[in-house]
Amino acid sequence: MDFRIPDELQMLRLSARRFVNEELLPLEPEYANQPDIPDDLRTRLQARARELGFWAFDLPESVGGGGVGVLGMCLVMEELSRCNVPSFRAPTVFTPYLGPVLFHCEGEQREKYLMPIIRGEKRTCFALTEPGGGSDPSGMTTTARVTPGGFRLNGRKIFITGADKAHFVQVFARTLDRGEDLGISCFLVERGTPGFSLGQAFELMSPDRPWELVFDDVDIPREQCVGRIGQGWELAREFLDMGRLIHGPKAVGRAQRALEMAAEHAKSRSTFGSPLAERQAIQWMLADSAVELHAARLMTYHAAWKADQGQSYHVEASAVKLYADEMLVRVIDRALQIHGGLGLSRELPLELMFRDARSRTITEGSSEMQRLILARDVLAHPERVDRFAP
Amino acid sequence: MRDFGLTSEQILMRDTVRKLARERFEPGAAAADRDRRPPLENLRLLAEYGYTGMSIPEADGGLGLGLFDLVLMVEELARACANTAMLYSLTDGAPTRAIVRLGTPALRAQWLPRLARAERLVAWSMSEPDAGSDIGNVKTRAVADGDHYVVNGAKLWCSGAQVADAYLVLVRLNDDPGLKGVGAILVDRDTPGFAVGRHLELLGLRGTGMAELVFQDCRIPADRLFLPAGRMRELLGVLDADRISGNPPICLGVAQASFERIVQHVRDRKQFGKPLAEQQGVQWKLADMAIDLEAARALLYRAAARVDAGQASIVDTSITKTYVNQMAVRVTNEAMQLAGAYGLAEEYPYERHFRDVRGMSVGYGTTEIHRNSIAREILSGRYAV
Repeated sequence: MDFRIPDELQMLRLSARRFVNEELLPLEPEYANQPDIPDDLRTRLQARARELGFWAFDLPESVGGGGVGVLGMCLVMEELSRCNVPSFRAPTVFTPYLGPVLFHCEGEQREKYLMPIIRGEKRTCFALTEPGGGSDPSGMTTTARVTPGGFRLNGRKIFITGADKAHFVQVFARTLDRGEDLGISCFLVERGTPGFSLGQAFELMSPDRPWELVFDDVDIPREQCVGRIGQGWELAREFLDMGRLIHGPKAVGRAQRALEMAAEHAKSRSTFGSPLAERQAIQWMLADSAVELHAARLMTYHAAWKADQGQSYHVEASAVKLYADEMLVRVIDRALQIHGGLGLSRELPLELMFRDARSRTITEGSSEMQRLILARDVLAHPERVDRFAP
Repeated sequence: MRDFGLTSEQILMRDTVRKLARERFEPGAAAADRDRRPPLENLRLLAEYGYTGMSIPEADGGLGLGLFDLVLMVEELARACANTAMLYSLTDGAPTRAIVRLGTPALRAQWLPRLARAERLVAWSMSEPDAGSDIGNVKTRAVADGDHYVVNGAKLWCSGAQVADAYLVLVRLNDDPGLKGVGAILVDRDTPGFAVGRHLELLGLRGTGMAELVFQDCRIPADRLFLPAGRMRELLGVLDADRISGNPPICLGVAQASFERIVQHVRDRKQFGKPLAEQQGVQWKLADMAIDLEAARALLYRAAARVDAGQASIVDTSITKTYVNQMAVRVTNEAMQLAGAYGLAEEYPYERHFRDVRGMSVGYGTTEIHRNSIAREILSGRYAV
């Protein structure tokens, strides 16, 4: 068993760290609490990332990407997540917000939808959640009725991050043909299509400002369905698996920063005549954080390795999201506690990191949803919990 | 065994305040947080209804009630609006109790009747960049100069700084080591050389007007020296009561509000074809929250009743504060989790409740400092169950 990270990925990671230190961390005082950075700043940073060869580093070489694989993506995400700019849920400046669904585009769809995203010319978002349900496809009420030319969409989606910036949305709807239920399908709906509008924006405790989407008799041509009719839930699951896996490196990178801040503060702050770092109770807090952080990191790398091998990582992605996000809450909570009043104040990014971390055990499948997935798997195949069984 | 039942007067007060707070304070609670605006009008309204000055003796214009009554009041205020409950301490908190216990007759006559009617507000200022619970490390200095003191330095984390009329401030009066050299002065807001500094933005309780205080060659008449050096223990005794009546009932009230709101939510919200309330995992969470709330309330009421009976103890205070603080984080955290993404949205109260209570484990002595006290009492043999 070899736990060493390949040299070229370590180099990539180091240069990502340099970019974060030089270009992104200085922006924290101004933008850390914003849902996204301004468009002109994004354009400038993306151009800089492109110059340095980072752009689309994680995408396949066949579409002009860097092809570093899922592990390489995780290592870079770890570095990017140390910084609170751009926010957790905004796209990074290294690669477009894309997800796996658009790789199912075929023929003219590829040039019209996939490639402009990859080139960084357009943006997209992912619309699955509805007022009545997030993780439950059986409750989906947005419908797409088959019409002579294509489909007519009706319904509402909520908590859709990035909808205000998206040139088109990837929306999931129950497909109906004269009353017959053909299952969930995925549709691409462009901004400005009649009947499609943004509803209210949600102000959250974390720096994220997701939107409500309203579909009121939205007519779209047949070519704006991605994948097969009825394949939607499969595509959504593909998206969710990768989305959940990415919670791993994001939590690990952010927790690493919080732990470093906590250790630094414990060494420099003296009370009652000695540094906090010399107090055993503080030492124990730091030790627990270090152990939990390391466990989350190993789980993340293992799931990423499986994905790179082309194996299913559905269950691992749930375990990574559950453990890494809850680890992040605990590690930041301890860092905040060690900082005392300073930890609560806006002078430091810790209170922001705390709010941000806390939101992540709810969004993109709550911790409870992950436990449900894990429990089903354990009950069906308890022996598979041993991931290394001969 | 003491009877924990409330008297009919207490029940009447609690129910009336609950109704008033729900109707008049709760609707503005989200805005106070969002706009960082202390809801002072709520204090005025409470004064109008005769609900201020609870711990001020009747002879000084107050209601002459006990700490237990104050706990009930603060809990009810916090159920509706945590910032209002925090501001209440500007009329009925550490400075008020300090004036009642340690003030000269002239000072009592000057301040207490007006504090009782919430016409004047006094903030408490202790912390500095290098002195939180380590009060002996206070560096803001008051130097005698004729019939004045000249004060220089800065204070941090002063709740109510932006709206107070005066400040009870801990200062270093001489070079005696630690607490021995520390005393307290009472400073009017408009004293030359004194200024309310930057607004300090926090994770929660954003509507208390928290700021730093700055002293630059600030000259204070010698008769405004509130407590000379060498008597800090007397003042800290007053603060111990505040650790029961100020911080824990806010946590308890906010957690109770979050609990009640989420119970309604899980009854209404359907997932996978049935209400969340019918899922056993959800039911167990509700049961744990109820156990936690009941245990915290029992601890807090008992601690307050003991103070009123003249049996205050360090262990009671520290155990109560630590447990209630952590209970409130657990309960508001679970409520937020059960509400799903709605739990994170500012339109709903869950995320505010969670942010408001989290800082309470840091303020009024961190839960760690209180564990130190508890451990010290256990190991010294002074603590016996």
